Amino acid sequence: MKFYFRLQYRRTIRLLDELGLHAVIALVLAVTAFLGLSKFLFIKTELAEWVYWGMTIFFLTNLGKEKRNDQLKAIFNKRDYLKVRIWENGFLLLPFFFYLCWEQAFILALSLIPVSCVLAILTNLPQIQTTIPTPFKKFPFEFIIGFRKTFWFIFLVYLLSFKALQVGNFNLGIFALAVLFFLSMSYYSKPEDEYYCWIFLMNPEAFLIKKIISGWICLSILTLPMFIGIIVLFPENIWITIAAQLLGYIYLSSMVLAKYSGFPKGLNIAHGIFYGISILFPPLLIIIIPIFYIQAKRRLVTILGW
Amino acid sequence: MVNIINLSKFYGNKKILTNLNLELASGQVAGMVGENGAGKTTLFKCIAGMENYEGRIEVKAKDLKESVGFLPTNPIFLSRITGWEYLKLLCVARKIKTENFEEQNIFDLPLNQYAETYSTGMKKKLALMGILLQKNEIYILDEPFNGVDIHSNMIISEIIKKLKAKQKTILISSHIFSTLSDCCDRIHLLKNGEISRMVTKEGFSTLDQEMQSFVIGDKLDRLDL
Repeated sequence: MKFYFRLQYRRTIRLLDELGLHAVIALVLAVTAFLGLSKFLFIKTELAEWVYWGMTIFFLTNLGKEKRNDQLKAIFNKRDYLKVRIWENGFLLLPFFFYLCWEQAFILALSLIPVSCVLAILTNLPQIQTTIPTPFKKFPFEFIIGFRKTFWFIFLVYLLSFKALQVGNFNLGIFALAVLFFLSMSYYSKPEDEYYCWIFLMNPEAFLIKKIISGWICLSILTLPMFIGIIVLFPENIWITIAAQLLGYIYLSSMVLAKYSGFPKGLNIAHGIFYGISILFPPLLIIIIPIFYIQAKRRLVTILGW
Repeated sequence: MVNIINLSKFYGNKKILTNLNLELASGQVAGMVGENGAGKTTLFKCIAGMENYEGRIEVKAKDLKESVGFLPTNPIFLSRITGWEYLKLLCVARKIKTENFEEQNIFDLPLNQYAETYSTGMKKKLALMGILLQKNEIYILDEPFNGVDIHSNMIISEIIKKLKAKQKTILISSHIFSTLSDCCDRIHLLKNGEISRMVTKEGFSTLDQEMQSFVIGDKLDRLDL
């Protein structure tokens, strides 16, 4: 069992090496991001501790998925398998547990311990086998996959926007819209296998334009009900809403270009940080978009055969 | 027709293919055999344009990329994509406007299910169906019979014959010699990155026997079974 965890450690170190990141720096970045996002959540909403609790359960459930655990079961006997699962859940639980304690949500924090043990004992947690329908059927594949992975989250964001419209909170409505933009961008965060790029009979320019236009269409489909709702209920802020929507298209385009600028590998850390800053400071996109475009074109020449 | 001239491929300092020459004629099925690691998949990827190489590949068609369909040994499927959506993607990529996949579903695949949940054989059949829908001129099939049930094996053999009759250019690799000898007009033996031998139909059985005695030899004696 010890060897299994040692292997996981080695895998993590190798992954960081591939990303060109030292383990200590990665740890500092991870802790900072975790604390920053946690604090942000607790500042933003009064329901933060429940959201936090739900997120922890979600991550724990993900560790218990059948496909992943079949391999563990094949390797370990029943007793060791259970130990591995309890330790894994424990490791994952730890930061969330301490943060909830820090925020003085002791009962919720303590409740996570038995829940994580139960989730470790429960094997083969059912996975949704049915095909989740999407409105993007004709635009394979990023939005189809993303939608199916995050449909529950999209549902929650729509609930939030509905609440915003109900109570007349324009800012909350725009916030929900922005969440959908960022969610859509996340659909482009992982590069696909080269085969799915190679199959296209296009030059790099045409390929990138096709990807961007498909992204715009899918983003429009995803956000249109929310966009129309905000415009109808807050007509005085129509230009701000339109500007936000346009910014969403620009961000999505930049994400598509960012993805292919490192293709077939993912975005490297330096680019990622630079890009992250540009998201916080949009005027930087004017510099970043052409850079990513040129790099993406260069990366695609070989694989597309032009 | 595809003409491969002095094709070489290196991974770093490691030589994979050396000055390989090969001619693939229209209306003919060429087979490729060789040990694991002999360079078959690398060669196929070079022909398909998925790998850089030294040398030349000449094609009679206007563009190799435009006319080649490549079936990988282990097709990789994106998560949470149905069989239907996979086929649609392959068609969109080649600007083919068809959505009538159910009717052309000769392997009776559950096209509304996620492709990643398919069995090995079903995945292979879906990938093959995808490149058939693209109506290519050249087919590079890396172990098309691998993991596929006997009925589908028969269908695939028939498909290859039909493609041949339609003057398509076909290159197949397989570890099952009998399937190759059924389909192919000639078989190339790839060894250490070079085509060490080429035999036509008349020489298939001799090649099979030679390979068996070379590959198996007295190795099994070492196992003391």
